[in-house]
Amino acid sequence: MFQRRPTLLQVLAPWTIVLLLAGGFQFFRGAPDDGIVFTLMACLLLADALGLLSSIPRVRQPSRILVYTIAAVAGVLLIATPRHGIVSGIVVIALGLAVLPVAWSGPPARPLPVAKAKQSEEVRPRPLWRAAILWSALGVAICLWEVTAFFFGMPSEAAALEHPTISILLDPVLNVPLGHIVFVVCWLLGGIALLRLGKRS
Amino acid sequence: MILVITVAGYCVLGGLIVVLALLSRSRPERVIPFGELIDRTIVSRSARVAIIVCWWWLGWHFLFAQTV
Repeated sequence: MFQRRPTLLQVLAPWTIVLLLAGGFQFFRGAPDDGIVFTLMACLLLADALGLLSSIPRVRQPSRILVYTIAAVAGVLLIATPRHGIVSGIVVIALGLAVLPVAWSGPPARPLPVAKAKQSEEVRPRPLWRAAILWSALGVAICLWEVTAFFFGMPSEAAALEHPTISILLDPVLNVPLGHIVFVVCWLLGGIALLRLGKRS
Repeated sequence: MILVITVAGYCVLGGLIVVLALLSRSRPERVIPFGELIDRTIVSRSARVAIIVCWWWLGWHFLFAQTV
């Protein structure tokens, strides 16, 4: 039987919209590399939701030992070499390329039929919804505060110092060796936590 | 003065993150912990990939790209 392909609006997941918005903002703030990454990933997710990437083979979740070994090597390299250096760039890009196939693998996001979606909403416990709403509200508030500071700081360098973004505030902290080490460790552990959570799901 | 307000805003939001994290740990029957929320969220590919991309971008932005 002939099956109709879903329309673009039907497959536009909220997280894909988040990536598109982030990409657009990165282009606007003059960071085209960052914009390309976000937009490209959003396009890949859209293509996947439209069923165009179903032939991509799934990757097995890596073992914990492998993950920790790679993180340790990456951590040493990131800490031992200067920020904004070529080694840092290579390590971060390599980590991204290694993590992406792992994140991509797993059950693809498929929109539930309306009846099924309603049923699943009823089953969902209230604490889950409360957490989702509260954390989302907090995330949106942080983004709005950051974007507001960015816009108010646009006219001049002095204005940017009066309305600092998180990047401006964190930059001097990360230039101190201890701050650099703490950030690298937290960032890598955060990535590992996300990979492990994915595995548990 | 504006600088103080801007930084205070970040501090308040950071404080709210800590409060919400502690609240969800002490009373999971009212608000499930953040880890569990992420665990349930990243079941879908779009959420998983988007969250991983955001995580990766933090490293890219603060460790390699021109931050300021």
